[in-house]
Amino acid sequence: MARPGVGGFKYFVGIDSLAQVATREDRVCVLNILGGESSLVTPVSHAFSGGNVVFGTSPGRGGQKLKTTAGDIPVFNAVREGLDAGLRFNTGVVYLPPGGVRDGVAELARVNPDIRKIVIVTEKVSVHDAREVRAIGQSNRIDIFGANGLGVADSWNRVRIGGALGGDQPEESLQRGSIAILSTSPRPSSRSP
Amino acid sequence: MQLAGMLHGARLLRFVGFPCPEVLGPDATEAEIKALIERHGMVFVKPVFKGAIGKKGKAGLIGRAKDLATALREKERLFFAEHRVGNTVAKAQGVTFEAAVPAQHEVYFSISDSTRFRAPTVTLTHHGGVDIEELGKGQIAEVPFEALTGLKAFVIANALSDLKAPRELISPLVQHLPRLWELVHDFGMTTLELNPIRMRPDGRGRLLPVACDFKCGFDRDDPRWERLGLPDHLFAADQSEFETEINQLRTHQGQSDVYVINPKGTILAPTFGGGANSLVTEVLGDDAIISSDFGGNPPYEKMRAVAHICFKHWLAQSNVLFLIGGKSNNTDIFVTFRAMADALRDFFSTHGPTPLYVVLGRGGPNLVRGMGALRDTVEALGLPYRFFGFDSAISEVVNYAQAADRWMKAGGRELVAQRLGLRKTG
Repeated sequence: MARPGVGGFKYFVGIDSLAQVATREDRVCVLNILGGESSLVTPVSHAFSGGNVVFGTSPGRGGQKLKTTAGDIPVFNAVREGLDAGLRFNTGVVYLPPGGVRDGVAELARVNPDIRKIVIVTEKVSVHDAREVRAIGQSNRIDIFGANGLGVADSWNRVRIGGALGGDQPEESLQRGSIAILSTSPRPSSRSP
Repeated sequence: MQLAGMLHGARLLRFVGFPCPEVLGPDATEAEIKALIERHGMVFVKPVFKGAIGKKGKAGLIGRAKDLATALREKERLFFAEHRVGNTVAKAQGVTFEAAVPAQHEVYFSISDSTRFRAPTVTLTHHGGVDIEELGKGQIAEVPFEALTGLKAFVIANALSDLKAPRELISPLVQHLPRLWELVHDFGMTTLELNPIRMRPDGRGRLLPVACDFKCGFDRDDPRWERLGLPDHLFAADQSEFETEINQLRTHQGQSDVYVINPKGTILAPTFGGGANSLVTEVLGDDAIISSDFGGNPPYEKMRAVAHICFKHWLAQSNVLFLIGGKSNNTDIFVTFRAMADALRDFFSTHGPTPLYVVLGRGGPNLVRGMGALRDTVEALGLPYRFFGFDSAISEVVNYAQAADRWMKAGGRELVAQRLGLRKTG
């Protein structure tokens, strides 16, 4: 049976409070975990969030590990291998280059029945692929954050998923407060008036 | 990246088998034009503009001819016609000769991605041939559809039923319109508009939709448009020489999304991050020369190359070089500032010194080392400067840059020039 969305929207929305955007219980799989940006950012996020990254993927580099201060993160060739190894996650983070994002989202949606949220950090995803990513999210009842996202974080519970909010010292910037910040980080995508 | 008109539009429509009138380009011979008129009774003569500019009919820029002499007169009138819509001015580079399509019905059709429906959406009406904005809400159907399954015949059928369109229109439109989705989705388009589609009767009275005008936009982040083999010069009108040069460095990591705001501005402001860009662009207004976002942790070589191009085009006229961004998440400040400092030094060696006030506001990894690298350079070049760290509000730093620009305009530029040995002291 299809997972019901929360009320009041004409399209599927799976979370109904800010507290569910990034939780301490979320288990994360990072696609292209050994890429240039991810290999710098993911260890910081992992340590800040109490070790929430279950595994990552990097085709052709399965068997390697990404070292972090909170323990090594195993790397598999593909999501299915990680699941076959008994690992489970509900949140995907996509660090793939723009041309691979749509396929990465399809992999997460198709292979892992437990997936609930996908955070896409990649910039410059084409409109064509964004259309299909959106449709995959809707038809599989998955909340999608991004693309061109800064990731999501909860300063109260010390969780950072995808992106580099707070840089390499998130505890400096991600401090408890009473205002939720939603940033679109606008790029100059058209001529200014 | 926009494309308008039937010269190239007809070729794109043929990719998906959508009917369009016979079209001749600017290099058509008199014999070809005469034969076209004989086959169809009348031709429309339309100027060819680069990019997309509308309201040509209302501006009297569409000629019609039933004989060769008139067609040639219209060609002469329209070949280099100028057209102004608001602040946009376009100059024609040639004309097309398009066979007239006899019809009783005109249809408007477009596909675009709707932020309202958060899905690809068709807009359709059988009251076409006019500005869509002039029609009442009940005369237009706006229908979202699934991107994965695409635009299907039933979506068109339902929309036409809702519009209570004449029965004779429904079957031909249901058969032909869905194939336009393939053109949009498979070739990197963001939008497609056909207005009008004229419904031409065949010998037995059945109607055939014929696209009589064409407008589309392409997503420059999507290489699928290159499959069409369109000539590069079609999109050259969209960019200045500076933008063309800098966009050659474009990658998916950014740093090359740069636009000219005012080619006569006095503040050259390479900004880091979308937030800083928005604030600076809005507050500086016409004083800013470019709008940019150099965030995203650019490597040294790329940052230096981008800065080199910016300086080459704009530094000589700038009063203030304003490097501004928030506290970066992962951009290495030392790397970016060292690259920009080296590009600045290169410029002074190649082109000679230029009076300049350097203002900087930034935070992030390796900030102090980055500031140190830039300070060493501007001091060696003899330029006045003021640096602000991440504890200074960006808005205050912007105010300081504007004050520096005013000071330069009020005689400061002369003083700096004297200090650089560019003018004799009076």
